Formats: sequence, C-alpha cells, structure tokens
Amino acid sequence: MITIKELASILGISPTTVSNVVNGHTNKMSPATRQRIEEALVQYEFRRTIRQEDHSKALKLISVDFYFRSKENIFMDPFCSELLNAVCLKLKEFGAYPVCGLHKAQQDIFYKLQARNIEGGIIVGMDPWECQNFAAKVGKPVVFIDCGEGEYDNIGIADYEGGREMTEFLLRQGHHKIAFFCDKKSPVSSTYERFRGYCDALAQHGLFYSNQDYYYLPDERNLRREAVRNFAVQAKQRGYTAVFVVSDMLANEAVNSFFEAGLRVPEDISVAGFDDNLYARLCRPMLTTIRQSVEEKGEEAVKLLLQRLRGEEVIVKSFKLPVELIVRGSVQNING
Amino acid sequence: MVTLKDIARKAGVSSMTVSRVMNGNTKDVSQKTSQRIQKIAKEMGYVPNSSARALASHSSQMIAAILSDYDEESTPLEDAYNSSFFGELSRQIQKEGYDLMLHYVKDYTDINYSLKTWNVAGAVFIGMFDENIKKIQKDHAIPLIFTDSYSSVRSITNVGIDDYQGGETAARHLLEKGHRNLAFVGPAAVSNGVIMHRLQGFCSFLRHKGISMPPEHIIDSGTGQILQALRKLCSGSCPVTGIFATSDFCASLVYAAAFEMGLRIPTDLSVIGFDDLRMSRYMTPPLTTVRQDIRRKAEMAWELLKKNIKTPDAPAENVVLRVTLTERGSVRSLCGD
Repeated sequence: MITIKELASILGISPTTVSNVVNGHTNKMSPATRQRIEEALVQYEFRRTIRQEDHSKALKLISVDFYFRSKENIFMDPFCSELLNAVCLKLKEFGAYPVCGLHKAQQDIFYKLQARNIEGGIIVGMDPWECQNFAAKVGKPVVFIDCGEGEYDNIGIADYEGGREMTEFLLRQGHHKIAFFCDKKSPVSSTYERFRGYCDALAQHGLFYSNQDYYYLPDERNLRREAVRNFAVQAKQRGYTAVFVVSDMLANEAVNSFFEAGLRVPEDISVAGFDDNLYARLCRPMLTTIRQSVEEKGEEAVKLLLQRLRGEEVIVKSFKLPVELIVRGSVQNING
Repeated sequence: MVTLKDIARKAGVSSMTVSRVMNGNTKDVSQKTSQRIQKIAKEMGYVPNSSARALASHSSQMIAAILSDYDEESTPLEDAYNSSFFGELSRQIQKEGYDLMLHYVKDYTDINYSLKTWNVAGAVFIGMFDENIKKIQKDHAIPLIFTDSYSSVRSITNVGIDDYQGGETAARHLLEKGHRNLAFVGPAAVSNGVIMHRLQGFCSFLRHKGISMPPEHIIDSGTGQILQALRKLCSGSCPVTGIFATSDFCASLVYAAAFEMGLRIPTDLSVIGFDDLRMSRYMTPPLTTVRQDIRRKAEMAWELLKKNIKTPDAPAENVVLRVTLTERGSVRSLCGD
C-alpha cells in the first residue's frame, strides 16, 4: 500500500504538501497542485492508516443517519426519537456517542462517514437496492435499520408476520371486506411485507385481495384527509367494515377523519394500526395495533455495529425482531 | 470491485484520465474518449468510490447537544419537546456542514470532563441546567448556549420564551370563553423556572380579573395524582371547567384522566396545553395550546452559537421569544354562542 512519502516522491512534491491535501488543509496551495495530488491519491488508491494510539484515545463516535426525503422535522416522529434515544443509551454503555444527521442525498451520508473521527454508522431509511452498494464502498462498518434484506447488516422486524397476524385477527372478528391504507403508491420493503401478510391472510381465508381494496394516502396532510373522507363516504355501500392502516400515526388521523365524516370508530367501522407508539394511545378509541419495540431495534443495531467494529465473526446479517398484537378499542367484533 | 485502474486498462487510457472523467473534470479530455470511458465504466459496473475530494480525509465538525438525564422516570429524547428541538437544531447546523453530537448527562461533572475531551466547536444545552450553571460555566474555551434558563447567573447566553406571557395567554383564553373555575396541572414548580413563570403569569392574570386560584387547584402531574385531584375538583355543584396544562404531554394525561371519569372534552371539561408539539394535533379532540416556535428557537440558538464561535468575547445575550395561541377543539365556550 502506497505511503504519503512514496506518493510525494512520484509527484516530485514535498510530503508535507501531500499530507496537507490528505488532511484537508488546502487553503494555501494552488488548485492545480491540489488537483494533481488528489488525482494521484485516487490513481494509487491511497488509504489512510489509522494509528493504533488514535484508536484507543479517540472518542468513539458513531454516525446515526436518517435518510428520509420528506422535509419535516422527522425527530418529531416518535419512531425516530425513540430509536435515537435507545441508540444513545446503548452507545453510552460502551463509551461511544452518536453524531446525528438527517439527509436527503446518499452522498452526504457517505461523505460524513469518511470523516476520520467517525468509526461506523447506523442508517435508517435507505432503499434496499442502494444499501448493498453503499455498504460496500463506505469502507467502515455500517448497520441499517428497516432497510430490507440483502448482503448487508440490517435490523428489521417481522413485518410480514405482523401484517398477517392483524389481518387474521380482523377476520376472526368477523370482518371480510378490509381495506388497506398505505402512504406509498406501491408498497416498499417494510410496508410491502406487511401488505404481503395481509394478502396471504385473506387468501388463506378464501378471500381475495382486489386492487380496489388498496388505498393510497398522499404525503400532504390535507390531501390525505380528503382521501380518507372520500373513502368514508363510499365505505358503507362498498361493504367495508374494517381498515388496516400501515402506521398508528396514519390510523390516528384516519379515526379523526372518519369522525368528521360521520363514521364512528369502532361502531361504524373498525380501524387497525401498526407500531404501538404514542399515536395509538392518544387516539380515542385507543388503537388495536401491532407492537414493535423500537428500543430493542436501536439496541440490537448498536450491539451488531460494535461487534463489527471489534472484528468479531457475526453469522447472521439480517435480524428480524418479533412483533406482538395489541388489542384495544378500535376494532369491533361483528360476528353473529 | 471494479477500480479506476480496471477501467483504464480496458479503455487503454491512464487512470488519471478515468479519474478526471468520473469526477467531471473533462476539459482536458475529448468528448469521444469521455463517452467511451463512461460506457465502459457502466458496463463493468463501476461504483464510484468517492470523489477525490472525499478521500482527502476530514474530521467531522461537530456541535454538542447536551440533554439532562436527571429524570429517573424517563430518558431525554422520550420527551417530545426535547426531540422536537433537537431535530430543529440538527437541521439548522447541518445546513452549514456541522453534525450534532448527542450527549446525555446526569451530573455537571460529566459535562465539564466531556467538554474538555471532545473536539466540538460549541455546545447547546437542551433542558434544565439552572442549578449547575455556575459550575458548568467555569473556564470553557468553547461557546455554550443555554435554552429556557432562568438562572441568576448573568453572564450566560440563553434563548428562551416568555413563559409568563404564556401563562397569561392561557388565562385570558379561558376567561374569554367564560370559564371561571380553573385548575393548573404541571410538574412541581418549585425550582423549575419555566413552570414557575407560566404559573405566575396564569395566576397573576386571574388575580387582576378578581379570580383566585386556591392551592388545591394547582395539581402536581408528577405524582400521578391527576385522576384523584380531578375527581374532587370536577364534581359537585361548582366544578372546575377549565384546565391549563403546562405542556401538551400533561394535557394528554388530563385527557386520559377525563376519559376514565367519563368526562368529555370539551363538553364537560376544557383543556389548554403548552408548546404546540405535533402530538397536539393527534389528540381527540385536537388540543388548543399555547404555541412556542421551536424552529425559531433553534435558529436563534444556532445564530448565537455561530456568533460566539466567531467572536469568542462577544457579550452574553438573553433572547426571549414571544408565544402565541393555537386554537383547536379542546376549549368550549360557556358564553352560550
């Protein structure tokens, strides 16, 4: 592997200058020189070596990045704050600290992870087809959360089982025409798995899923309310007795929109959610939902990352944490 | 993994040329060659490792966000206000290439030790540190920005809101809606500047309108006694009809207690909250609340931090933001309209 000294000698430049480019101190040199050196770094595939003393003395910093394209403050979403909370507490046990960020572009996360004082990262919300490439080129241990399965470390939950269990519960309560509300035009990774569980449960019961049963809820809140109200108006004549909503937050909103449209929950229509977070408990009636432990997700991600950092052998890359059906007041039994 | 060298070999050019094309510095490369190289790169499945700039190693520039972990019952980011502010702060600093390092502290000695060891450009304190400010302030080379502080130490830079005005706003709204028998729910106000000022604003406004607030009407939310207190106060011939909860979260506890008692909001009991966090929209009915502009608070904290990083001997500043009222559906008018 090439050293700074060797590179300097090849270019006919002083090692100090080369070192300055490597360390980002490029204010005092000409752009041409800088470019020449940078190209050589790439050509000769220069890699920094981390000195052993650096490793132990330095503060252990772990990058925790949320890759969401929506503009809102996502830390207001209880999922993100609970996750960050769990990660922070677990890292503290190991004397490490999270450096947090919200990003719209993959390049930004990549760049952040290249910082020499960051040891590894936890990433939430990247699309599964991007994760493998990203993990391969980053050069440091990275653990994904809820990013599907593949040749990369991911902590997720039993989304399929959750979707299936809730649908089976609804079926047992006598509901045979169940709509599926989702915030994606076509479901992806976690939501797709939940949807698949829903479809399979219906099929097993001799019912078949029709495209008409899938309701897309737009990103914009007012449009969403509109969409739910449109559904409410036709629900009775179309025979829907229950709605399975892909998250508690959206389910909570739906309950309120139904109420505004004159539909009582659960008397006129049953509503099921997913997550079991604050929104489930703020809702009146409180939501019947699938519980996931966000805390456990955060903890497992940290544990796995630290194992990777220590160079330990880890056999399974993808972890699916279990989920649980929580029955509250938003689903009515309409049997008999 | 496909490298630049592999592409160069296949294209019959130097890796430096390939690097130029991949990084978009194509003025020294003919278009024909450039296109050929890009085609080969795509065919070979080349994944750009990074731009040459990114390889020039950098250190993450950081600001520390310090949250107090004094509460035995819950952890810092479980509090919806803390996580909202944290999120807004993170967005602000990120716009300028900084990252936010999160630190929970139980003890001021944690802070002092850590600030010395970390290589952060500055720190923002989220939450209550008043008791320990004097000890924290001592000889730190980096700027410290406090938030919501009512410390008597004058040389700190702080961003807060007009909590007193907030209390007055809540009182005014309830009175305007015709409520006379009121109660206050919140954590013990003893040493907590923020709660105490809200309570003072609330009671003072009422007093000027000739309404007194007996001590039993000030309910401590921390002890889990809301239900018991409400049973006493919301029954009988002259029940309490309006409650000022000193946070949206407290308001949700009042909602839960009311629900258990079979009281409907706002028909039987009106509730006004504080903060206007996202959760207030998701309550049934949506909560009327005193709003603080958390985004603006975070912007101000960041502005002050930047100012103090640039000019370390800038004078201490105390910025106070005003609050407003967000009316939703949890306060009923008793005036017969």
